[in-house]
Amino acid sequence: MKSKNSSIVTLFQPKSVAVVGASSQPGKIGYSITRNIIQGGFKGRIYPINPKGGAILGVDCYPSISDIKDEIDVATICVPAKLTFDAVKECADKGVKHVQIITSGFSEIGEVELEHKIVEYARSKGTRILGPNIFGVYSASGNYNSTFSATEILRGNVAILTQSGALGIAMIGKTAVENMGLSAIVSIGNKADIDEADCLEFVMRDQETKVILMYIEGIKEGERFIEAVREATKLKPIVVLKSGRSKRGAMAAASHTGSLAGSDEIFDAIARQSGLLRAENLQEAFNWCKFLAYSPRPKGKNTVIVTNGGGIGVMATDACEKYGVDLYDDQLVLKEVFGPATPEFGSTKNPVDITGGAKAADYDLALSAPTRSEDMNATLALYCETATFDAENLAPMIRDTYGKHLASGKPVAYAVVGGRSVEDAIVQLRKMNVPVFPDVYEAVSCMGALYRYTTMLAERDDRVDDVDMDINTINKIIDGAIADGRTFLLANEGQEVMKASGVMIPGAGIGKSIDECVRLAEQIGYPVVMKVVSRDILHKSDAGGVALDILNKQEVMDAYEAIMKNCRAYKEDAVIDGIEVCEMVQKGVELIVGARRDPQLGPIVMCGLGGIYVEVMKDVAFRAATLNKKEARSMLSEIRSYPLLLGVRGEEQKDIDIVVDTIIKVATIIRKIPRITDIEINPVVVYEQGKGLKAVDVRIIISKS
Amino acid sequence: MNKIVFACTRRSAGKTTIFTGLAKAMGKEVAYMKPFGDRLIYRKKRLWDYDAALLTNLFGLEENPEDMTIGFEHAKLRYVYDEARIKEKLLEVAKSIAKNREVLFIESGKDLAYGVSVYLDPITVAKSLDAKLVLIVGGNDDVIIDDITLFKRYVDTSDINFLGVIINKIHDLDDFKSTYADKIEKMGVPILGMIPYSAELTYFSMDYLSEALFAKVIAGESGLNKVVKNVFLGAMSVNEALRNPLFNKEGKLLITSGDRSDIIISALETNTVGIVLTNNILPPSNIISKAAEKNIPLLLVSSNAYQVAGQIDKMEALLTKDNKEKIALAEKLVKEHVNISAL
Repeated sequence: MKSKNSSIVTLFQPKSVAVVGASSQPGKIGYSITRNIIQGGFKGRIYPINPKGGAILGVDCYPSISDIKDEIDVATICVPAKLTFDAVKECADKGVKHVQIITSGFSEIGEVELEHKIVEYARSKGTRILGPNIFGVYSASGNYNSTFSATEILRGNVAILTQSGALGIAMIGKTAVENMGLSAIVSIGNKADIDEADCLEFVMRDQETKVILMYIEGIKEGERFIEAVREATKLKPIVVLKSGRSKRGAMAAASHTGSLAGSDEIFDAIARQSGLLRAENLQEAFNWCKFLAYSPRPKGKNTVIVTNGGGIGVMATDACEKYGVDLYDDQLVLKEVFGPATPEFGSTKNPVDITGGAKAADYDLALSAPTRSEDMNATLALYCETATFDAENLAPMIRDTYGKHLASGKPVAYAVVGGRSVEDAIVQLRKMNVPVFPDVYEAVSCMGALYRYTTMLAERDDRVDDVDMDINTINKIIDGAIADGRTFLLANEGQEVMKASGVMIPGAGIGKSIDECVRLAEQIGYPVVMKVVSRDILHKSDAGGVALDILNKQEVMDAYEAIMKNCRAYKEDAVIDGIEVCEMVQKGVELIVGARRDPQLGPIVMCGLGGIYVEVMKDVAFRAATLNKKEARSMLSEIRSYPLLLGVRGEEQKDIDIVVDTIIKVATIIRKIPRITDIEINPVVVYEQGKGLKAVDVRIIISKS
Repeated sequence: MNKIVFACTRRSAGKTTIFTGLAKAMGKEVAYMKPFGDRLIYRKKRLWDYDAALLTNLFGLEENPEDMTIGFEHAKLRYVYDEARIKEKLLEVAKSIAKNREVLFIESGKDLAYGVSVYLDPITVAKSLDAKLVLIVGGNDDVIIDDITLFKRYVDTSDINFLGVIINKIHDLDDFKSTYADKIEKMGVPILGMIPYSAELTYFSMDYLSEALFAKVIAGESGLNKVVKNVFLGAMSVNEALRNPLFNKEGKLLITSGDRSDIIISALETNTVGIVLTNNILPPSNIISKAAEKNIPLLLVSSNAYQVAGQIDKMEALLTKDNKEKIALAEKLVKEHVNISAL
């Protein structure tokens, strides 16, 4: 992955900055930004720009940027929209490397042309644009706060990339309350030029960043985005919040930043494929960020739950199933490890119940045990407030046992439920970044996210599988269709594309005479289907132009006779180009395999249950088209009908390998043939293992450009 | 055994109707074959001619209709047979079909030339089977006289037993007899019969129509046996339609789209035997209910009115086995107007 040009690092670690529209009046954005830069500890050169001159917080202003002799790394523009182009022009002419446009009133309200004009001019001079419609950039490593946030930004390990300015500013405040320090926060805004992919390039390598949080509404360059997150998730976990899930949400997102949310289901699939952790809501996202930033990665999948209440223990078990946290269940080992900490009337099964009578010391004993056990990799500790518990020791106990877990390199999350003293303990502990939550699902959700990331890292395979195919032939077919004035391929052309790609298709040919049809039938092998080929006859069956299940030469002759006779009776002047003789596909499991260019996410592939009810059943899975066989297999296994391929009710397993190969081939087509915008093969009839499949009906849409 | 080839100069001269009538009127054990079929039915990989199936049903023939035809399409016949083989096949079929029968009727194709390149035209068939030849002509007077004259002048019947001509569908029988009968006899063409035009023979049932149009019957199934005598295309306002005398004629079929509620309602109240609803447009449910109540079939088709009208216009009102009135009428017409003993 590479940024379009010029180092993005300069945006976050500039040596010199200018604020165009700087103001000495508190309350104005030009003032807030200048103040934050100065008071944020920026060590580079600061140039406030104001035609009236003067000084702001002791720093002299310049009337215009062209009056500055030095080079400027970043210029922040906070002048009204109608003055922005001129301001950008001045900056670009001066050779400013990055311009961040705080001002709103561009594509988010429909002023797309002005935005394009700004970016075009800037790029022509080698200047990159961040925004418009943003609140600025904060970078801990650069000691640089060019946002107009009213709150001081707490330094820490989480980097936030946000498409929403207002939400981003609010998140600054919330992170301070949560004691979640930031390594960076950048507002992407309208993404007229710089986008998340560019910013990821910096934060993924930034030493101060341990976790990245992205808030997204829409994506512009999907392929770049996917490539960028794949690179970044190798190094750091990325938590993503994407809005526009619902139809109304999507519409709201459309009006918010002028972007339309793509299909959420597809984004979800690609997020998982790329290793992103998608949070349901802001609180969950923050919880995950903190947990991922401060927790060690588990070295195995064995999690134990320690609880003083049966009910909350069951809830935690349910939550573990929901969030994919595996519970350790070797009873002998559990008894050995937890026996000394558990009263006789408790339980050493997982969840380990140390009963309602447990005090802090009992908890300490029980929670220390898994830190010493090689068999246990993570702990979930649950506490329900009881009358007998020494409440003043709750927070110290949690702090101490947390420390022991950290020391042993094992993650732990706490869920504590109770009244005032419990709530106070939570607040106190969270300020120290101890992962304690008032709800068991919050705790387990964090552990689930950690496990998902760890597993993803261990199992990830970024290879992209490719196949050789006859691209020249495919392009020639497309050339022919375009010359014909079509934006789709005919059925036989689609079949030719499949042939050129190595996808198995039913044998077929067009016979222009009875003996040609006989020859084709004998060549293809019986049974065959015969269909009239005529551009004047659209409804072949209505015209009596189809004959099925032809078993021998005599039947071929009879069918030929019947088809020709019927079609001439149907439309006397129809031009009949011949009769298509094709292999009659035997019954098998019908799948659908397809690919298309998503307007936001780029080339994607799809597979699922096919046939005539595909639109009703909607049993399909998606991936980005840059995938390998392992990922294709995983995609296939997600569909509800997957057991049909494994074989049910005594049936043999189907040829899953060939289905995987076909998915890869279709993915390769959509990646390598830019003029193909949509492919759908439905049905793909799959047979028993070793017996392959047949792509029966192929629909391909092309574009002229 | 008496073998007779029935030929015609043009399509729809009424061959099938005539020898259905003849077979009934003769009262003999009849066999039937149609060597070169033209009304193909292809189902479950079996091919047979519609007329063969009809005659089989009507006369309870034991033989399979599929065995009564050698082929339907020139290319296939050329592929399988040469001249010698086709003659062999003709003889073989005739022998097997006509076993233990008194009369063998052999129906030829749609006109005299049909099948000549594959040796299945009526003249060649008559020669191959050593059969008699009867020519059937029909149409307006000028067409009839032209066809008979053409036949006499240019067709060599020297080596076949040409029995004569049956003239069908004559609009004014007395006038024709007085004007043309003599002339034809003087040409040396024996007249075996002169049959008047019968409008009833051109009628078809709603059931027949629904099959021909591939229509979906959405109401009035029990009225499918009703007979269409007139066709009215509902392409004007309902006021104008009501003023048109054809709209009030008996046995009316209305062609219109389902959104023409006004004309449909009027039709349901006035001598309508059925309605074809075009463009797949359904009428409101209250109209469908009313049609169902009155047992008036509503046939839904995807084509537009122009296409439907064209299809009906070209449609041949073929005899069906259930149409006992038509069959009885055919028999009556033949008995009254054809010299059966000359056959």
